[in-house]
Parts: sequence; structure tokens; C-alpha cells
Amino acid sequence: MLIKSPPKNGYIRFGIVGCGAITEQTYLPVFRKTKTAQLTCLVDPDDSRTSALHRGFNLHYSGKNLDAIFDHVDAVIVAVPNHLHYSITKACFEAGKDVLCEKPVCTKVADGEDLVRTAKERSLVFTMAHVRRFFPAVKKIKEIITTGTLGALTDFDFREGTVFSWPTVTGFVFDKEKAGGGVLIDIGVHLLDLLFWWIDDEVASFQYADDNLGGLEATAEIQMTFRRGIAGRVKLTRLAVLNNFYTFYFEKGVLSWNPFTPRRIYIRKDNNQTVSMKAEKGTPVRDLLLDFSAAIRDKRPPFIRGEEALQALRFIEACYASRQAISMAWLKGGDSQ
Amino acid sequence: MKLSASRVFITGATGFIGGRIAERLWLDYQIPARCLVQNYAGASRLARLSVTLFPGNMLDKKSLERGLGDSNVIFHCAYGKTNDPDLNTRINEEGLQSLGEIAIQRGVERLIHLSTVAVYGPDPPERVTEEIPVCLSEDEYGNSKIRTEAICHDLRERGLPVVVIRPTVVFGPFSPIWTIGAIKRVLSGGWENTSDITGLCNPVFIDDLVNGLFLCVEKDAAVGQTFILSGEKPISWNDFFHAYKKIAGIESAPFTTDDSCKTWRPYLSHFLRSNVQFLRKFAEPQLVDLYESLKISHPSLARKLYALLSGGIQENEKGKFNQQTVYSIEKARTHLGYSPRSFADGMKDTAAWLIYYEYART
Repeated sequence: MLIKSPPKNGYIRFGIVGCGAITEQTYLPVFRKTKTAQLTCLVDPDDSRTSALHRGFNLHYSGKNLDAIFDHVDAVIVAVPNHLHYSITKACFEAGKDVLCEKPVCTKVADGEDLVRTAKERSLVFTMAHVRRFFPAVKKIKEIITTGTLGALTDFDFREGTVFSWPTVTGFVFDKEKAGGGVLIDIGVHLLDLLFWWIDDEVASFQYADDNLGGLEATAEIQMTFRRGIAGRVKLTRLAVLNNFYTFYFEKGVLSWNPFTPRRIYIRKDNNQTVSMKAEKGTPVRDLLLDFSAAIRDKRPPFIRGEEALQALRFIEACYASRQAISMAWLKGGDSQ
Repeated sequence: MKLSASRVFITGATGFIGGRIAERLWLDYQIPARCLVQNYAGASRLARLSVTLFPGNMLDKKSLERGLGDSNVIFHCAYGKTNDPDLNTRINEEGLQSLGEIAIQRGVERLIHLSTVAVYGPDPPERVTEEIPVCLSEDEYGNSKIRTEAICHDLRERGLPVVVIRPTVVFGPFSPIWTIGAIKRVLSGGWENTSDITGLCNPVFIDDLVNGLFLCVEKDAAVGQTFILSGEKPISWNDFFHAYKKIAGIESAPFTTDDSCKTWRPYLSHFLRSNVQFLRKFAEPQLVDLYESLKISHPSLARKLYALLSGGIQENEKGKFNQQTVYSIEKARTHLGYSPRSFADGMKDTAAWLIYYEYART
């Protein structure tokens, strides 16, 4: 087993591997504002990306070589295209570094299981960027489900759809091999991570359908039932703005939450009165980084453990394996007239 | 020539028409089109297919060469829609010129150029055929298409088998203006108080347009020609928007139409619009939050508010919606065997799509 050196000066020194849109728009703004976490290295195969992003940081290394960063970092954020999550995270573990990995944990469950096992064997912190778990409203929903404030949860209907507009630098999300899938693995992994965390049960049965016509699905639907009998429907798309609500049907009321206006929770009770609760604003990415840092410093498990992320990935793999085509009359060809 | 045996390159493939061409090529002929993609953000629809995406743009000749590869058919749907008119001109004209040069060098057998009926200007006659002269106007989109048609003419003279298509009002799944825009318009009260609107609409369902484009490849008689592609017959603009109202389940106007309402509504609308614009600069997230809350707690009020903010039929739109123009498809029927379906048939698939993607609630 590798012996980890303690963080110098109490600061955790971070390296980021991958200088795409997620690093530029999500992580770097937090590092600019956070005093307790220090960014020391950037790695990307494209020199123009590292040069564009390194301004404003006092870096020890900025370049293409992953091995060159290990002497200068305590922990690594892996923000590369999905198909590289496994090899880069594994290399970081072998160098004795804790890892915060972008979602999905891997494109294959077997690879994810190997990473979880490796982190455990080496006593390394392995957490996932399921940032939505850090929304205060999300924690509040968990509390409502767990405490039974609205009675038992019986059904759910989750819809999430936007017209895809992520400024992907490499376009990897549209490459089957690199992305590992379409909207289900991209957006669905966030939704499913929350669903499994909220409900804390195993899926008893499910049906999955999507609009993949030989490439990557842009729309997906799941009907599922958990062992405790909670049943529900999930609809995801990259093609249109849906009525973006996660709706929970309890014995004594209905709760709705919109992931794009994440502070508000709407509750309609038996008397048909709708009340809205406003949760704290929250700083999810900052909180994720602070939790990761604290887990390293205090030698405790992170809020989101690697093995938890596997539950969503296992389910996604099962969905793809049992895929059916969504019936879409408008997709048929020219003989339809 | 046989489309089924063709190798196809599409420019503007992430757009509404280019996207459906790619889908139909795959669904009908299992042709994996080569698609020029300027911005990956718009590629979700295409990526569902077994197509090859080539990053690039109309001003990058190398990307055009790479994208074209050994294709022998080009559907040219790309056009400049940036905020920079000069850049748009370059994309449209220099881009087409470059594409045409490469196509000539590579022996391309068909270049189908998507133009528009906007080439006839803002005030076309009551019956328009391909023989009616085009008309420069203040509409830069139409003017640019006139100039690109002239480039097509030159390319034709130099031996490139070019076909120019002038589609009318193209509706159907993913149509940004005449389906998504239309349903949003009726939902926001934008098609109310229309007793003074009497004009004709010439709608064409996207699959009919694509059928017409495919016929231009199949039929040698198409080469060197220009075709108007519209639907089976014109309908009134009121019928067009009422079809969307029916899908949206809007039985009555969201506003009363009495005279007192007519008097204050424009003032209130203007007041709200100018104040919201001002507030957006400082408190956009809060406004969005407030509107989202209102949609849940008072959906009817939220719709009325949105209607006030978006306004109804604008004065400058009335000319367009009162035109009595009929775009003839006789030439396409005769030369190509083009036979579009009825508006009602096209709206069936459109309605199913709008409901599935929750633009309208059932």
C-alpha cells in the first residue's frame, strides 16, 4: 500500500485532468474563490486549452503529461471524456492520489467496480461529481421521504428535458465509444443517482425505451417499480424543453421539484392548497469540493461514495441491455403518406 | 440517378430541414449521410442516427473537402444566421461558391440548394410560379438567397448539376418557426383578435418537402431547374394557427375582446415589457423563479402575463398575414411527380410530436 503524504500547509493541492467546458465553467470559478483548496496542476492533451485556462492560477504544472503532476498534487479531479474516466482514475489511484471523478463513474460497470475496489484497497477517497446531491432542496426532499411527513411515497414521475446546448469542446458526448451512451448516461445518471439516494431501495422491475436509430439516444423513457412497491416513470430528452419537474406522489400530498430552479419545493396537500418552500441557495460545486477536501483531511468517507455511483451505472447498463424502441409516429419514413 | 445508391453530404445538417433529410436517408434508404456540423451543441438529433459528423463550417474549405469526401449528392441547407450581416453574406455566398468549386472538382452528380420563396420579396403577386422574377427588398435573408441562386446559376453553367428549391412555410416536428414558434404563439395569446386577418398561408409538411428533395435526385429532369415546393393547397392563416390552438386545447381567447380591453391592453403590455426588460438586467434569476412559481400556483395568470409580455399580432405582421398569394406547385407535380399530402395529414404527426415533447398538454 502506498503511504499518502499529508497535505502541505493544511491546503489540499488539486490537479485537474481535462480542460474542457466542465473544467472551465464549473471547477475553475470555484477554485478562484475558494481559499482552502489550491489548484496546482492542469493536464490536457490540447496545449491551447491548458494555456487558455491556466491564467490567474499559480500552477506547478500545465501540460500534457499526467505523470508530471503527481509530485505536486494531493488529489485529482478527473474531468475527461467518459471513456477515459477509468484509465486516468486508475492511474491516479496507482500514484496514491484521491480522486473526484466527473459523472458517469465509467462507461462500463466492471471498470467502475475495479475503481471502487482499488480505492478501498489503497484507502483512497473516491467521490463522484453528482453535484445535485448538494442542493439544500434535494436534502430536504430526502428528509420528507425518510420522515414520512407527507405519508409514504407511492409513485413518482420525473421529467427532465432541455434542448442540448452544452458547449462541448471535443464533441465526445456524440461519440458512442467515448460517451458510452446518450441522454440516459449523460443526464439520466444525475437523475437516477438522486432517485436511488432518495428512495434507498432496489429496483424490482423496469422497462426501458429510447429513440436510438443506430447512434446515441436523445430521448429515453423508463417505467420502474422498486421492491417496496414504489412505482414511477422517468422521461429524459435532449431535444425539447419538457415540463421539468420531479413529482412525488405521497399518501398525503404531492411534492414537485424543478432541477433548473432548484431552491423551490412545491407541496400540494390533501386540501388542494399548493405551498412553496424556498430552500437555501446552496453552493453545490463548492460544497462538493469542500466535502472531498474534508474527507481527505479527516480520513472519512465522502458524502458521495464511489460505490453509490455504481448503483445508477448498473441500472443504466441494464437499461441499455434491454432497450426497446420508443413508438414515435413522426419518425417513420417517407412511405407513410 | 438512384438516391438509394448515392453517397450524401449535408450542410446545415443540425438544422430543421437538414436534420430530417439525414433521418429520412437513414430510415428510408439506410444511407449514413456525411454531415457538416458547425456547433456540436445542435447535434443531438443527428447523433441518434448512424451518420458521420464532420466539424467545420461553410467558410472552412478544408472542412468542406473533408466532409464531402466521395459523396456524389449534396443537400445544401446551411445558411448564415449570425448577428453579423456581413458574416452571413460570406457564409451564404463565399461558402456556396467554395462548395460548388469542390463539387465540380469531385464530379458531384447533384447539388440541391435550399432557397426560399422570400426571393419574391415582401409583396408577391397572387399567383406565384417559378417564372415570376425574383425581387430584391429590405429583407436581407431573401436578398442573400437571390444572390446564392445566381451563384447556383453560374455553377450550373459550368456543368454542375444543380437544383434550386424554394420551400414555402415548412411545418412539422422540429420546425422552429412554423411549429414550435406557432404553438408558443397561440399559447401566449399571440393569435387572438384576428378578425381582420384574411390572408392565405402556403404550408408544406416537412416530409413532403423532403420527398420533393429526394425526387430532385431521382429525376434527371430536375437538373438545372428551380422548383417551388409547397403543400397540397393553401389554407387561411387563421386555419393554420387554429390547428395549433386545437392541439393546445385553447377553446377561447385568453383575453376578452371588448373595446375597453383593447384600449388599455397595449399600454399595459408596453409598460410590462419595458419594465421587465429593465428588471432582467438586475434580477433575471429572481424573475425566472417568480414566473416558475406562478406557473405552478396560478397557471392561468402566468399564461395571461406571458401573453401581455409577448404581445399579439404586431402591426408590421399584418401585411404578411393578409397576403392572398398562392405558390403554385404545378411545375414540381409535372416534372418530378411531386404529390404532397393534405395539411390535416401533416398536422397529425405534428400534433403527436408536440404532445410527446410537451409543447402542448393533453
